[in-house]
Amino acid sequence: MRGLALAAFVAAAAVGAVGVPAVARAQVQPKPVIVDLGKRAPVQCAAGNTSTAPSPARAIFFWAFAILAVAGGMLTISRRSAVAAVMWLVATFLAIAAAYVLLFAHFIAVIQVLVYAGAIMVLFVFVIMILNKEEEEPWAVRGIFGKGLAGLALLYLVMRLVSVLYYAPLEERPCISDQFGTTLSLGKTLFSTYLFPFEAVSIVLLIAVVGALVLAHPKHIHEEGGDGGAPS
Amino acid sequence: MPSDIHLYWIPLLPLLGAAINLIIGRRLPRWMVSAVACGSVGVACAYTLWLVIGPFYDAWAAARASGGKLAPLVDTVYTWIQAGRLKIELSFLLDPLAAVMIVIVTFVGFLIHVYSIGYMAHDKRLATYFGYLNLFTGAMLILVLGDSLPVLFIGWEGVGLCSYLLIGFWYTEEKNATAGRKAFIVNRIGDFAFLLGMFLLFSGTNVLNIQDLATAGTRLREVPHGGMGMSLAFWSALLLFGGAIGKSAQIPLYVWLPDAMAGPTPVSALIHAATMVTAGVYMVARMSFLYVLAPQAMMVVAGIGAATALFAAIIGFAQTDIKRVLAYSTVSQLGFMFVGVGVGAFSAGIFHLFTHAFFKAGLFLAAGSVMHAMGDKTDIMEMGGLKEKTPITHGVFLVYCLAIAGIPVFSGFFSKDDILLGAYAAELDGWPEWYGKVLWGVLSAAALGTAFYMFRLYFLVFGGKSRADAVTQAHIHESPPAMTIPLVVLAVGATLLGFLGLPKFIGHSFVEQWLSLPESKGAAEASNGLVGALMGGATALALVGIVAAWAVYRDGPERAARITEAIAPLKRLVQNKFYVDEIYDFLIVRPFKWLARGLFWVVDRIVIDKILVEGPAKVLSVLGRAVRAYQNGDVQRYLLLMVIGLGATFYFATCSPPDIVTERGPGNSVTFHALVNDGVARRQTKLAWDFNGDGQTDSVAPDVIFTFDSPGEKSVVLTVTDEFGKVRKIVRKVTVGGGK
Amino acid sequence: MSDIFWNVSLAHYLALAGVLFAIGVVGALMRRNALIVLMSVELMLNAGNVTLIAFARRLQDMRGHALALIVIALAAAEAAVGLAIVVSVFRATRHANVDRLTNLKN
Repeated sequence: MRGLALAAFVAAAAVGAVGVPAVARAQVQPKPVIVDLGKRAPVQCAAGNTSTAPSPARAIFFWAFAILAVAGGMLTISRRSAVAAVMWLVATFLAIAAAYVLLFAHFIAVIQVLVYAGAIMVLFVFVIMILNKEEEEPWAVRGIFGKGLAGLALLYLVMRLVSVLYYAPLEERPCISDQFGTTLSLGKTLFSTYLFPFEAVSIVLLIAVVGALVLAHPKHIHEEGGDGGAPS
Repeated sequence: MPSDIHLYWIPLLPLLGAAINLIIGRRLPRWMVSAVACGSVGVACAYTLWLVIGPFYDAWAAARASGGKLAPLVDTVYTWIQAGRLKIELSFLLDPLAAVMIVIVTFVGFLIHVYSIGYMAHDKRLATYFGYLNLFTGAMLILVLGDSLPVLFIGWEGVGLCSYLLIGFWYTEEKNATAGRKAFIVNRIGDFAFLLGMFLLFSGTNVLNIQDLATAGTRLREVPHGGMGMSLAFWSALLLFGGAIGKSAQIPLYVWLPDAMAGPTPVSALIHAATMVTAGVYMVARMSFLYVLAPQAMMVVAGIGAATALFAAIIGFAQTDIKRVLAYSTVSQLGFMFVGVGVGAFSAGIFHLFTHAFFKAGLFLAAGSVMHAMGDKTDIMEMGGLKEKTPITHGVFLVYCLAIAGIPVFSGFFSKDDILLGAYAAELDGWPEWYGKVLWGVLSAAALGTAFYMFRLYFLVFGGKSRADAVTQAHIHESPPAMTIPLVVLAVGATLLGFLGLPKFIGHSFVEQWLSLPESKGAAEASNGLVGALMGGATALALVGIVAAWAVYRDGPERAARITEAIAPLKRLVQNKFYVDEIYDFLIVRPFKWLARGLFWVVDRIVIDKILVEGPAKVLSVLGRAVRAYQNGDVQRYLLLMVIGLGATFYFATCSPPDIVTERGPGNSVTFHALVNDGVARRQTKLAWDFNGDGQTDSVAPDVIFTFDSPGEKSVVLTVTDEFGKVRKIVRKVTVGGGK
Repeated sequence: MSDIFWNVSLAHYLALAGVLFAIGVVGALMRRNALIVLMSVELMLNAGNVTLIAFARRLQDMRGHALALIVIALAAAEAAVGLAIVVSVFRATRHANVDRLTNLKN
């Protein structure tokens, strides 16, 4: 039963991830807005720009994927089985990728699917396979008072953010450049202004790989208090 | 004058020499150390002589011929300090007064450097010695060339430092190190007064540049700046003189100078006779414009000078250490100079400084030569009979003694007479009429004493038969040429230089014209008869002193011992320098030590160690015990605290009450800034300004410039509606108009 | 209410991010399994990325995307090191319960 639900959500997320870009790009044609929301006239954008005026399709997709993401997150943290949790997390990430597409962040969406839902999650699955241990008592209930306080703080944070919804100006910049969110423009940003952080991140990744190797190397365990894991 | 003259080379050359000798001197061969030291000062000396005798003299003569005043040569190197009203440039000033001083410093300094090659030939730390000596020369040149009081003060402190270093040069002996410390600490008292004087001058005039101060006359005369009804000029002159008292060893701070003889003899000659100790006199002459505004301060200067002159001369009677006699003689002669500048005869004081530099440096160097011959013995009771064995030293020593005693033709005669005349004829505003006469009387007594103790020294060292033991006697020899040549040069100077300041009935005084300092009215108007009479009297007194010394000491100390038996307690009193050191020890040093010990226990041990050092550690350890519960190693607990902190941060960052900042613009306009929470919520915040109190919204922008109809106090209302619909009203009063 | 439904704006994405972040925090706080804690951390990072992308869209500024990419790279690094730590901890203690890993206490 649980596996079925998981499969359904993963499938939905996949459909969303593929389908949404098509819908979003359909807006490229300066078509009149399908549903007049009674708020404003259809927007005419200058050449090279896309109208992003609110549309029912956009709204429906957002809500669908938002609910999928939230539900997936909740299931992630509530599953007893680590494998199930990872699967739900994959679903969540896919939903978030769909949200990225709705935000015209095509490249980031692809990376999200490839790196997060793909590579990182595979890593998790591997580790789970290595450990492969079911928990008897999954919830850490010690210090429940402090956790209640943290929950209140968290609730406050979320409340503030969600409350913004009620007072948000219900308007967006109606037009967006066709260049926005493309691989080309991201590349231009990343390899000009942000070249140094970009390179720095590569060093961080390298160090992380070396660190992971050193930490996970079996020798290290047996030589506790020794010379720090040098092969003998 | 050529415009490409750079005065800074004069102090810079010795400083470079010092840098070389102090940094790499130890690795250089000895001859190179000496060459660098003497060379740097020698080049500076040559440059100085060329500059002063050549272009500077020409400019002076031209200015004099045209009846104008010579504009001093100012060389600004760079701006040293600039802070608010305070602007101090590192700049040097050459005027006739400074010219005299740099000639003395470089010329005498050069001779003493040469002499040191011979004197210090066997010392291990030759490079250090020459480094310090060069450093001293450089600092002294900065002192005399300084264009402003702070620059002068650099040199002032620099020479003090070098003095300390050189007195304690042979620091392995406790006595020498102590003498160095004493000199430093006693000088510090004077320097503190000097600094206060400087601050006072700055607070009153906003300038520290000497030329600017000289033109700030009226402000210096203002009374409110001073206290007790005295003017700013009086207090600052007095405080500056406090510095001079320390540096130039006057009562009550003279005690360091006799002890300073612990240093090598050339050091005593250069620093503690010819140059550094005269810095006080120089400073008073440099600030003469200030002193003439405050005759009461000059009264103090002259009074202290005269008292010191006599007091030190009396102590000089009973000293048996050759260098100590000379040290007290220096203190006494400095007293003469202070009387000179104190009675307004500034050029007389400087003239005496000039001649004294030659004969006193010579005396010290000759004393060094004597000690050299005697195997470093300094007790004159064990000398005698050196006349034949060290003919050159004997000859020059006699010349110096004649000069300091004030026998006509020799230089000391002219300069000392100038001072005596100035004192006798002193007529300053607010001075009692008898004051100058009293000064003259005291100085005459001191002059008599000077002649006596100098010739006592001469007869005990050179006259009679040798009282030294056989080993020492066999060792007696004349010094090497490196030592005797400077002695001869100085002797020539000590003989002839007096003619630069001839009394007016013989010719004109070149020194007076050259310096063109404020002149003593009385001395200028004194009749030829008076001048002649005073000269005759002084000469007679000097002769009396010499004859008395001859009568008592020509064969050695025995006769004197017989005479003084009658007045033994008095003799002991004088021998022990009137117990001044002991009195200071009792009155000042010991209470200070007690105070220091008390401070050590109370401030250091309790306040600093216990409360300030251990206290925070204690508090932290108690706190640590309290918060240790939270460091239970549970990552989830840490995360929990982070989340709580995040919530709190969010709350405080977004929920602080709004505020208004105002800024007055031109006319009746005011710029208003609404300080509303930044971040996501800001855009949802609605603002409404009401500037004129009519209840209408005038603007909804966060930053507004509003022009009011009229100036005056206005009430501004800002209504803020946040994203939850909560309304806040802020009322702010602003004053309109009168802005920039 | 319909307005809020139909007009999807920046605020919607921020709210979504806030909720996801809160879920991540709850997971990291409440679960014992170190692996699930790590997943929760990933979830929180993603919530942060959503805000970045949403603001980039709002301000039409590609810098938000660049930053999000860097966050993804760092998240990968973090996951690699974190998982390695979990593995080595598991080897040493035969469990991966964060609330039992209190060795730092002493």
